[in-house]
Amino acid sequence: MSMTISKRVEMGIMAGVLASVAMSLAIIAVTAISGAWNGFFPIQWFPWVAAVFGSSGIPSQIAEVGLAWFVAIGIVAGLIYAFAFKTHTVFQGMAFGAIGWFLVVLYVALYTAPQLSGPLGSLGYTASVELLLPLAICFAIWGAALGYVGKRYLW
Amino acid sequence: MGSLGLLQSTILQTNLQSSAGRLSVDWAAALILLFVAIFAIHFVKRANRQPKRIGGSPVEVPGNTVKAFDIVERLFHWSLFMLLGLVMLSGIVIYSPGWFTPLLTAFGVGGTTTSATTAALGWHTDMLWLLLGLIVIHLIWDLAVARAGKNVLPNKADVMDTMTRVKGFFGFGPNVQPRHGKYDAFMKLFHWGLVLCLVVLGITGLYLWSPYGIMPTISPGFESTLRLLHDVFAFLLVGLVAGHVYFAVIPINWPVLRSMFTGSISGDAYNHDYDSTRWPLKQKATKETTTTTTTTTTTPAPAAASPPAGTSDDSKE
Repeated sequence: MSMTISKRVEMGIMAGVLASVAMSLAIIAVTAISGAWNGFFPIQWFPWVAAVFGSSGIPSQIAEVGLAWFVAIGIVAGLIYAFAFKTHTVFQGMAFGAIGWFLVVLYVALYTAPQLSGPLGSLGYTASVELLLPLAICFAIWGAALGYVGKRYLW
Repeated sequence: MGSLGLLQSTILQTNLQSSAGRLSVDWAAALILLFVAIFAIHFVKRANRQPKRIGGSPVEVPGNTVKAFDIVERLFHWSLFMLLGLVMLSGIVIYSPGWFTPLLTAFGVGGTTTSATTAALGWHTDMLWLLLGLIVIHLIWDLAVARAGKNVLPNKADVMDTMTRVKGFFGFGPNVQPRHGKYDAFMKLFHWGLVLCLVVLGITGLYLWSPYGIMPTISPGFESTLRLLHDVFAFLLVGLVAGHVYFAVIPINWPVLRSMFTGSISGDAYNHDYDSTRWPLKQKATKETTTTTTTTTTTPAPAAASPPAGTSDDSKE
């Protein structure tokens, strides 16, 4: 069954929004667990995303900008995902999640990212794992949500 | 931006740090526990046996798919889910700095310091403007474009259905559940409960916040009453939303949950849960099926790529 362009656009937007919701919940959980344990996860995700895009201001506004960027990127990714494949599966969505995670890794490897003491190479093994492993889980959930919506849109 | 921060700090010092008229933590906990107890009782009862569906007659559903929610309705739902969650979290952080702070840390607005609570207040009020915008879109879309307003209006059949279900649930009648319209009586109750809570919270919150001093000066006694109302309805809202999530994730309601992702439910789920006279198929589909309404089972679409949602529910009863 092939999808019409309008149906793909609809699916892409929906998948992007739902993936954003799912990953937001995952990020909130990871940060909360980190806070209760030993603060292993070194960044506050939404202000971090805002800072990557050069936003500054009072904390609540930075968080709002971060959230807005995060959802917007999610929708763009959802649209790309919708048009990238003829049919969609959860694994394809997770592959997209892996690409998203890889882009973040690439960014922190090349730049002195906000909230971090330096690029990935200078962080040390433990700090790198504590940053990248939780993010990998969150992006896997993001991708799975993307893929699930795509898969379900077929029937 | 600076004046906004100053304004928020002033409001915080004058209004929000006062404990006069606040709902005590004990009462707040009692309210939440009441909701938890209701869900627990429901879970225990429904874990044992599902009610048998009665009423309505199955119709043939072309393509085995029924459009349940359009893209705007779904985007509204998930945006509301996110926004309401953030408003509630920040509200609880303002109510009692320290509570749920870990859940706001990812947004950089958690903490127990005055500046952290000020940030939470800023977050709380900013989200409210977005919430207001969403509600306006929802009203315009559902009333003027989708014309779906009547789906949530309670009617006599809802009262009868509720009595039947409550009797069955408590063992005073057969354990049955009448097939319903697009929303059953409890869903309508949830919707109007949400409206009531949001209206009361909006009015009381506006008085307590008084953005840019637009609200008239109120007496300390009236302020206490407003604060108490705000707290009570806030925790009622938390309970209602928790209930909505609970009922959404129990397996019997998975077809509806899926439709909030994809927009459609399967014809099998439609015939299983809904009364086609109370939630008729769209005109085009109805015309196509008028010649074959004697069929008593739904024919799955030949092109269906996966087992239709709702099929698994049939095995529960």
